[in-house]
Amino acid sequence: MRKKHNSTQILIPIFCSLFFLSGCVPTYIFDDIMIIEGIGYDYIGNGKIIGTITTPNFVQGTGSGGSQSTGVPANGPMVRTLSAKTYDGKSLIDKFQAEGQMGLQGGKTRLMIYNKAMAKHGLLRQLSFRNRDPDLPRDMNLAVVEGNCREILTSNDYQAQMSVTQYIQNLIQDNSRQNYPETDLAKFLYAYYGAYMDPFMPLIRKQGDHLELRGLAIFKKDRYVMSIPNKKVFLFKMLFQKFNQGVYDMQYAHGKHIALRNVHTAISYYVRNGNSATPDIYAKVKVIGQVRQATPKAISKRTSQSVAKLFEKSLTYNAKALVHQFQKKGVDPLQLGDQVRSFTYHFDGASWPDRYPNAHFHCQVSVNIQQTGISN
Amino acid sequence: MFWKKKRNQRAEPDTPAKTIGGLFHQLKSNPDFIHFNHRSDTFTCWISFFHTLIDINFVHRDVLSFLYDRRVSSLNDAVRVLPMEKVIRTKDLTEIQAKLLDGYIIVQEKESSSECLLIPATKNHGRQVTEAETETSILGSHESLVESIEININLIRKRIPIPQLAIEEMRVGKISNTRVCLLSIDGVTNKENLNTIRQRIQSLEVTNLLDVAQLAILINDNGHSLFPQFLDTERPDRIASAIYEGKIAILVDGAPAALLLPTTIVEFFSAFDDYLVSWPIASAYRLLRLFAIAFSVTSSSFYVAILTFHYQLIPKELMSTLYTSRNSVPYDPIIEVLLLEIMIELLREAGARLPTKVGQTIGIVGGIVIGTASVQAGITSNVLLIIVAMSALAAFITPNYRMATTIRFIRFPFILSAQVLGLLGIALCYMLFVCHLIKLTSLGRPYIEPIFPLRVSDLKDAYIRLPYNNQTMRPLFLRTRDPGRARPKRVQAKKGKHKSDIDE
Amino acid sequence: MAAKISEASKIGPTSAFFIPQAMQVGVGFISFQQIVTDSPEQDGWISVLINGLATLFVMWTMLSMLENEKKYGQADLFSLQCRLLGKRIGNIMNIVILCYICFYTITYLRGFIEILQVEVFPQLSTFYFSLMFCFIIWYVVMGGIRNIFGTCLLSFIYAVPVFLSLLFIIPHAHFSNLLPIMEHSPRAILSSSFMATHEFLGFEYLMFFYPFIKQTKHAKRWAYFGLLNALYIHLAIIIVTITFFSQGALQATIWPTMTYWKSIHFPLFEHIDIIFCIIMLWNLIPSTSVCSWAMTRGIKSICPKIKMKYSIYGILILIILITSLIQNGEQIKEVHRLLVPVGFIVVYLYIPFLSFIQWLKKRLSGDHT
Repeated sequence: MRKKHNSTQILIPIFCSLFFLSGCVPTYIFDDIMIIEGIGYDYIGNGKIIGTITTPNFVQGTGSGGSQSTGVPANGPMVRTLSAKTYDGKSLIDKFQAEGQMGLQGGKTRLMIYNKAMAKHGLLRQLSFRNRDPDLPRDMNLAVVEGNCREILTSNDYQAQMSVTQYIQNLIQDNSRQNYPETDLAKFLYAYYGAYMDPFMPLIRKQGDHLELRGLAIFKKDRYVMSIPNKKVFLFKMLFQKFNQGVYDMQYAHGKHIALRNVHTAISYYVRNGNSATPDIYAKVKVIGQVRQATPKAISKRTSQSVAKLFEKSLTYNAKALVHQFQKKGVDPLQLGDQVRSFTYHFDGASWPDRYPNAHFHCQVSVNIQQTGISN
Repeated sequence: MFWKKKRNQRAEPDTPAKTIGGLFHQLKSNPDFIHFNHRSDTFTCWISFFHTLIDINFVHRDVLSFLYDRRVSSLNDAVRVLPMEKVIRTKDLTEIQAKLLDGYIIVQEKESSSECLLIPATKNHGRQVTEAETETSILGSHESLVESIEININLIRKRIPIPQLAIEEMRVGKISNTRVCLLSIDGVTNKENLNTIRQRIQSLEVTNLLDVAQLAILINDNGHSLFPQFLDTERPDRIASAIYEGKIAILVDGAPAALLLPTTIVEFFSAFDDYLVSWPIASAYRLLRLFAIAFSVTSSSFYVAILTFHYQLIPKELMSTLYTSRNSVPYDPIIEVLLLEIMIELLREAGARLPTKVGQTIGIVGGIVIGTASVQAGITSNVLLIIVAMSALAAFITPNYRMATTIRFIRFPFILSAQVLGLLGIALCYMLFVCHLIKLTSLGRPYIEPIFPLRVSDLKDAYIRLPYNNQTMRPLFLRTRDPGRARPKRVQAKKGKHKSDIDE
Repeated sequence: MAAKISEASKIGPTSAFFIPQAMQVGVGFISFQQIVTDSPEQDGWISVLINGLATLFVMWTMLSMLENEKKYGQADLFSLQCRLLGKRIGNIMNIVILCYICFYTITYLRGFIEILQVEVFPQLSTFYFSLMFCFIIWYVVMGGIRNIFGTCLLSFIYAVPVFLSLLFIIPHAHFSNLLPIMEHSPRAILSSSFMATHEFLGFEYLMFFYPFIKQTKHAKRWAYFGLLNALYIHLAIIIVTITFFSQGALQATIWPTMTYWKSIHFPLFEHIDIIFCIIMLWNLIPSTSVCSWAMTRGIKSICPKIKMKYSIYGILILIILITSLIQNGEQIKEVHRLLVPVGFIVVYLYIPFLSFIQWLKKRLSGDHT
């Protein structure tokens, strides 16, 4: 009736003792390690780099039992930083280990920033290293810095009540919900490893006691080539992906502006003669937007149609100019080459870099102004 | 097992009385055994009984007074006169002995004559039917089983007033001869189940049986399992509904609970109240309970695993909170967790053993004073205190106490394996438990039934409870002889015609 | 194999769905994309589709062969080989098949341990982990095919959130990556379809537990449905992977699924990849225990004296030893590469060949009667 459990009785204790005796994997006890939050690389020439890392420092001043004061830390995490000279930043963590009081762990790195010199020097080594490291989260943000990474990461005169890493990350992420295209490590590597496309990162600058986004830094493979300014980022994002909540400011006459907040923007590409010397790339953009700000008397319900026309003209012209600029530099952050490939059977990839500057970019923008605000 | 048998044999009285005289001789030394010569004008007899087992008033009022009657001159007359429906007349010594110890009066004409009248005068001295205590309910009936099997059967019979309710009595225990009753409904309950359980009870080799939980442990399918395989309940309404469903209920004399079998694991997590509220609410609460159990089993082990090995998993918003609370703690997370868990375990045990009023005080002292003090002293972190207290709370959300104990127990293997291999250790431990559950049977029926084997129709009343009119079938796993509870067509018809449009 | 199978140890017809399913959707789920898209790039999904459809055909031959075999004796591969090829050659083939099963198990087990070593615990000892794991396998296999079926079913249920995680990819997908369709030569597509065999291996284990299935008529439908579902899952993954990664990035990634999990983000959980990786561990239990169970059956059929409950110890020790002999990633890759042709020969050549012999034999003996 009931089964005999002889073998179970013998094996289970053996199993248990084995389990508890021989399990030796190193521990990383949360409060005994230093968790790296942000990494900065400054190139100083001759293949040498100054690397800076930040780790949060949560220590509270209330002595034993932090619970006595408040459950919530009163003043957010403080930051500790370390920096040192190294080669190409590859073994940054190992390099710093000698300086850290506790083990350094990179599993929660949120941010990696490079100064312009570093970006120009090339990120190849760092990137292949990042792509290999299983510990790194793929949703971490990358940015190029105008100025000095070390200064940005170590200075503590910011207005924000948070660690600088979190500050930068919030800055980037919040903006990528609006005008800026979404950027993170996964997307950067997508373009970096992909054929016929080039990656980009946001460009940051420290301005007094705060940080600001300056635009996008465009790379050719792993090297920084050019940047596009803040005001053109809307155009870039419009041609790059579907999005909403961006703001486009148009100057339709001297000193007269209308700002359009798009509710919806869709882009679709079509390519003809992909393998010819001058491929035709057609971009069709549909913008649905609301007017948020306008110079007085610039727009009313009646004139919204004509304003929409103005917008269309402006967007088309500027988009073409932007693409032309990319073509001249031979970079393709909009992944137009990939679009051409996807529309062309037996795409001739080898000659593409030569043909790309000659490609005809046609852009057709249609703007639909949904509403003009609550006053005329 | 041979040694058990040997001991049982030895445990039997060494010299069973051969004659009635011998029996009396054996019993004479007992102060509560009364053996006297009764004389009236016409009739002389010997009366013997245990005054602790019988209702003495009843003897005075309804037995002795009739024996004084003038018409009585022999045992035959006595039988005719006595106002009882069932007076046994026998010479069988074993029966006499058994009945005497059950609370019967023996009447003999001569002290040595082997012919006896056995008059029932059992005293029912027990608790009155009281409110259910371990399985309290807000909506349902407030009666609960008591120690007396007669009252218990009465409580159940009242709820199942049909002739098909079959009660089968057995005696278990070499010495104790405890009454055990199997309750089932003829024509519904699976015969095979009934045979299995009957055979298991009959083949039991025990000297005494005092409680139904003891019986459950003795007859379950896997004696080494941590999981209770039969549901014990003290609610007569739950028993009745289980019997209607096609289960078997077992009552043991002297135990204020019944066993329901076969059982699946989900039934341990359903309360009878679930059937008394509307189905979305019942389903929500069942899911809540399920979640609570999952939380209770794994929360502290996750704490250990994540803090010891997988710092990556901590959400960044929580990091500073966790860090500040862990900062002053000198120990590894495992020590901290074990310390708190064992403390809570001590509190629970102390609370359960102490009288109710002291128990409550202990709970407050332990929970509040020690908890806060240990956080302030920097022995444990306050995040952990919250986790452990919540998981203790969650464990007792289980309506069944035995299951709640199991759940409280199995967190320790989880915590230890979390220390050894982190999340991987938890996963391995979990796998072992789940494989064990897959293997486990209750009366030969799969224990985690609606999941494996997957039976979609039984899922209607497992993790969620669908409305009654969807539950027209008895649970498949009981293999009842009458699988239908109600005819689906009629259920539909009762609901009224399907309207063809709004407002028509 | 004279002993008749008792009704109590038989399993329902849905087992024909869940067991092959658990075998097919395994560790390969995490890693196969790179191999498949190697030469046909964005057309890799066509290769997967072709191979998946081919499994349907093999399943058909398998089922008809087993159904025919029922008349002559036990309808499993071991006794079938003995009957068709004669006692001696049959037993040799049985041993070959046993080696194949062992090889398959070790590949899967070692492949998964490698993932754990890379993603979760770099210092995890292969020997130690496989020892722990084989203990659980032992516990499951001792419970018989019913228990194994239970683990298969549960592994399917646990894998559902893992499959659903693919939905989060859709906002990040570049569907233009799939274009142009059918650009590559049929040769490239077929050769990568051959490489995809690895992913679909596992359904042939139906041949070992077929006699244990009740109501085989219903089981057939479940078996085909299971294959279609596995095909669907693999197709979904490969399409999602192609749209999520650029071709260059895909070729640079060893475990695309893991890398993809690294980039999805939930508010409460971070590093979802570790959690999913550990959930996928559940998938290893059924596949390893089905294999070990099949091996014990095979040993019993070759040498009826060795009881299954004893041979399981030997098999598990063998698995532990060989698993811990494979030491580095290169060797693991080599083993995986070797499994493809071996599996291809067993599933796509040997099984139809057996079926042909059965038909021939029936034809010949049909003349006699």
